[in-house]
Amino acid sequence: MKAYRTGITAVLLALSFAGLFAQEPAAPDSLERTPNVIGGIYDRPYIYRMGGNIAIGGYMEMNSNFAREEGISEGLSFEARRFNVFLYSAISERVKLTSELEFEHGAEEIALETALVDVLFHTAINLRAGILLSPIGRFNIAHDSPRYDIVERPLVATEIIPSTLSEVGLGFFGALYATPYDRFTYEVYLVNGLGDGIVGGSGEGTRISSGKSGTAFEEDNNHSLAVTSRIALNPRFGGEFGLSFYSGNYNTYEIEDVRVDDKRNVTIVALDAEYKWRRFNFRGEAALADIDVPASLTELFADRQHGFYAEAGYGLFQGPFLGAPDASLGVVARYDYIDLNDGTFSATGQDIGDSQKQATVGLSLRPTVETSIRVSYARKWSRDAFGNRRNSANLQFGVATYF
Amino acid sequence: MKITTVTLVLFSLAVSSCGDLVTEAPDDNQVFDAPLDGLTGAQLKAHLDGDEAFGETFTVETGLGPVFNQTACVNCHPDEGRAHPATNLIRFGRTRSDGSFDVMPEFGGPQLQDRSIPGYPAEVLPDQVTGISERGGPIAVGLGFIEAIPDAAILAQEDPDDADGDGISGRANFVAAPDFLPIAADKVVRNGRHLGRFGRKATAIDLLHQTVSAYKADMGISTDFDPVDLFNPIVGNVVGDNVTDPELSAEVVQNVVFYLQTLREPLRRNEQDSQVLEGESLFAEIGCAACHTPEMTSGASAISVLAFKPVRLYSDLLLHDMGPALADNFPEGDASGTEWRTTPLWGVGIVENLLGGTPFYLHDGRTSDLVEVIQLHGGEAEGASNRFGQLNDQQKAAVLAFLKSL
Repeated sequence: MKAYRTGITAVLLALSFAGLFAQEPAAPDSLERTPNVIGGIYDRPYIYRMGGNIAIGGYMEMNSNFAREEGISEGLSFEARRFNVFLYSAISERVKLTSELEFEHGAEEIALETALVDVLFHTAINLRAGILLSPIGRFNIAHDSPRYDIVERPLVATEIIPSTLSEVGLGFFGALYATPYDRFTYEVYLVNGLGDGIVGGSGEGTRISSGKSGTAFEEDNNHSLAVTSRIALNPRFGGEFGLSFYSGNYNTYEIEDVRVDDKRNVTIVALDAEYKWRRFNFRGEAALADIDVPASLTELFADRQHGFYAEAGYGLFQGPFLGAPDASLGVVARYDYIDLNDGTFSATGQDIGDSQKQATVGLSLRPTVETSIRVSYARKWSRDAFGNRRNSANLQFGVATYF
Repeated sequence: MKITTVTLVLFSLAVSSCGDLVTEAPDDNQVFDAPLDGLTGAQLKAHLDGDEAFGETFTVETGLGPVFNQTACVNCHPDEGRAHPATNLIRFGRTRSDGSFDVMPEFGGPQLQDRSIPGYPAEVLPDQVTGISERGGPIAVGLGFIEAIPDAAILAQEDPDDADGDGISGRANFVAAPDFLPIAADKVVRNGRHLGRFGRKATAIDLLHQTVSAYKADMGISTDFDPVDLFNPIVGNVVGDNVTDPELSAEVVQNVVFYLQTLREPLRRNEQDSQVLEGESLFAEIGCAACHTPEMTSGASAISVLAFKPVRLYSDLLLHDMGPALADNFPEGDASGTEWRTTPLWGVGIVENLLGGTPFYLHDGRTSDLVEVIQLHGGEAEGASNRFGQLNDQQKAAVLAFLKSL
């Protein structure tokens, strides 16, 4: 719990830090009256680049890996991590379609990550239906690689919040303006929810990401929908501060209306913050997950997980560079912590391990704002459930760009 | 631009100059997980294939359970070392009125699979049990050498009636061989049964026997060798999971067996230290070495680097009465409820590097104190334990230093 409190403290500090600078707002322009989340699916450059009612775009990323664990390296290799294609259509003034088709590792994994229709009624209330990004944590709804300066995604956003988590469902989103300069956004959806694999889908222990299932795009495994929601504040001093949750039964407890097992629930609560001040930018996210686990699997499978990350960046340079008129160079540092089994062994009273700490530093050169050429160095300290340690390091070079 | 330059320089220096930044391998004599020296390229490839299979965690989809104890080999042998007590398994049974022992198969015996896949009931310990044996997984290295020791070399140390009058009466456990097990012509047969040498009570004849049994009983994984999956008898249906049996191929099992055969023996530390040498001498003097035989010699082996080598395992691989404090009242084969196979002591000094720095000793990991371990030795070992108690503090420290050098 100590690390969890540290995470919450980090996020709260980020909020407080942002608050300090609220004393000297830089004469804000009023926020555009839009229900859309900053960095979200409508905050992508391709939509506006060409004009017109249909737009095609996307992003790609590749990287190199040079990883060593306990002094053992598998050498240098390259990874074609993602090639994602966006398709947007403004069917009418008030009906929009957006989609994202993801190719991971070439064609090894192909997924329709987003395919949704938005029906816009009013800034404050709009209907969204289809395959959507569950709004649990900010990273899941704004995860495009070119937005970030570190090659790897935050651990809490992949291991506890199983980004990218996209599910089929429907619900509402919108924005409420407290003043012309202060905005609350919300999203609330019913979705089919995660599946049985959370417990038993990985032999390593409870893994929420193992609850993702392709069949959930056709039918809910238990006919009990999950609910997910996020509220966020865009205050006049800038940035975004969010609170989100996800809750639903995940296991198949009924087959043909016959009860065959107990209902088991997964709930995730997340806090997130993103803020930019002068040459600095800050990001962070903390999450706590509670998972119902059968009595016969306690300790081996976690009923509670938590984690956080805190990231700070600094712009070293901005201006013309090698023919690019608006290039920039930034340095970034991130600290990650996740505990995938927040429990103790009844046999010894010791903490169950299954935790990871990671410190990452990096440099990111942006010839344009849409392209990041970056180098990252990450040092990770892991403990397995029984306390055995693994030290690893990874030096990565990567390129990510919107197109 | 000053801050830019400084940052770039610091970043470059940090990434390129410090060895620790890319992690360093621990010394060979501080870890278990390493292949034997002298393996060929093909043998090393097979070793690594086995390593991967040894580390595989089973899931509901890949056949785990339906009842089981752990999801992977490495859970009971983390870092190829001995188990954490949280992974201890339990064997149980009851003594009938005629004195015979019943392993209670109608309750899922002899082993309690106290975990189960979601939606399926785990086994529970029945009320009538008289013998409960709680055990943790042992160190999993050096096993190829132990397997290569000829039966005759082990049996030569037997003294079931204590003919030499030293109070030590080691005897072998002869067990029935399963049908899938090929038995070499030079193996000793008694009443149709074969010499067991692996497991806490020496109930496994060789590493294939041990591995197939562990897949089935500990993980609920059926194999080509033993294709019938476990199930919980109280359900009444012999089908427990919906994964087609066998769930694991013979190739994977054989790779794991080869991996176990080719994991290097634990390397010693401070072997020539004067305190260690004094401890080694005392160890023999007070009688520990009567059962913890310092060295045997391997015989012929299909893996040439295992053949005809000294095996400094510190065990005679025989059964001994260890007294009431360690008794589990759970007989297996010829082993009684107070007998245990002498645990090889090699690697005992390395285990404290694992499991977050807390070693767990004895068959059930009940203590982290080597002195307590010695004090709990009773039965045939009572004399040696008492003689250890009579040593002065310096001598005791020497014995402990010797043990930690193994």
